[in-house]
Amino acid sequence: MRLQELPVTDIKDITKDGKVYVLPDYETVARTAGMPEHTVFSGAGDGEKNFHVVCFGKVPKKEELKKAVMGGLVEIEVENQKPTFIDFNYPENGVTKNQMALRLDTVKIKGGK
Amino acid sequence: MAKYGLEQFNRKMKVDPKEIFGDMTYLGHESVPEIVFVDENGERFDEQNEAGTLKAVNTGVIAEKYIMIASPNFKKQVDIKVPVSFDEEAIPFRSPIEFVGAVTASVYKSTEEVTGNNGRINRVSKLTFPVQAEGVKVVSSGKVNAKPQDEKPKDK
Repeated sequence: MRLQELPVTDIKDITKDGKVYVLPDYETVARTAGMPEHTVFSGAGDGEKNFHVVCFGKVPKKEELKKAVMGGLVEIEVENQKPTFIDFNYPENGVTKNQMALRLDTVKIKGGK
Repeated sequence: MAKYGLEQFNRKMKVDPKEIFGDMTYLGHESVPEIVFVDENGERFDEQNEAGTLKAVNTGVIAEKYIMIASPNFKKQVDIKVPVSFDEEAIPFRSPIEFVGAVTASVYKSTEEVTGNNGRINRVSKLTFPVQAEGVKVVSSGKVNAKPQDEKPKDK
């Protein structure tokens, strides 16, 4: 058996500087037979222009994220939790793409309350 | 179309084996032989052609080596890629082991068959994260073979 999910040991394995940004307009995906309800953010970082951040826990309100936007993006906290790399299927432009995504327990605005 | 998802090609991620696997127990190894493909004229190719007409030949050379471990954190045995120079005779079955040197994971894309509610079988893409270790050694404390300590006789 190979690992289906990989805990992130070094946050610089995610992006070159270890910083993760998201676009504020996330999507909430309803529970299915195979997955609990989760939230999907479009993420980006140095060296990674387009990936998804998947969160199964608490996320900020969209209004809070929009207030924290700088240059179209919001930096989120990844240091104080246990992020993992996951296999993720997500429909985009009418096609479900299998991709590698970042899973977080909660999404918090960097420097926020 | 633009790329979606984190970059997968040639990606190497650091792994903390203690965090992921906890106590690891050695179960055995598996050697994967090098396979080449030969046509009717004896010409060798690294890959099978689209028509599937080439004959697969085992060269007898070991191309890759894996060990299998048991971990309290996983329901099934986990494959770990090790260097071809790994000496399987040096590690007995059920030895508690630890990894030596760099331990990394890569991204492997495969397809799996999923049976839908209507009974139809669909092939879907799936990513897994194979782990590679530079070396393996037996933990010196040797939990598996440890004898139970004799109880001290009570002083009268």
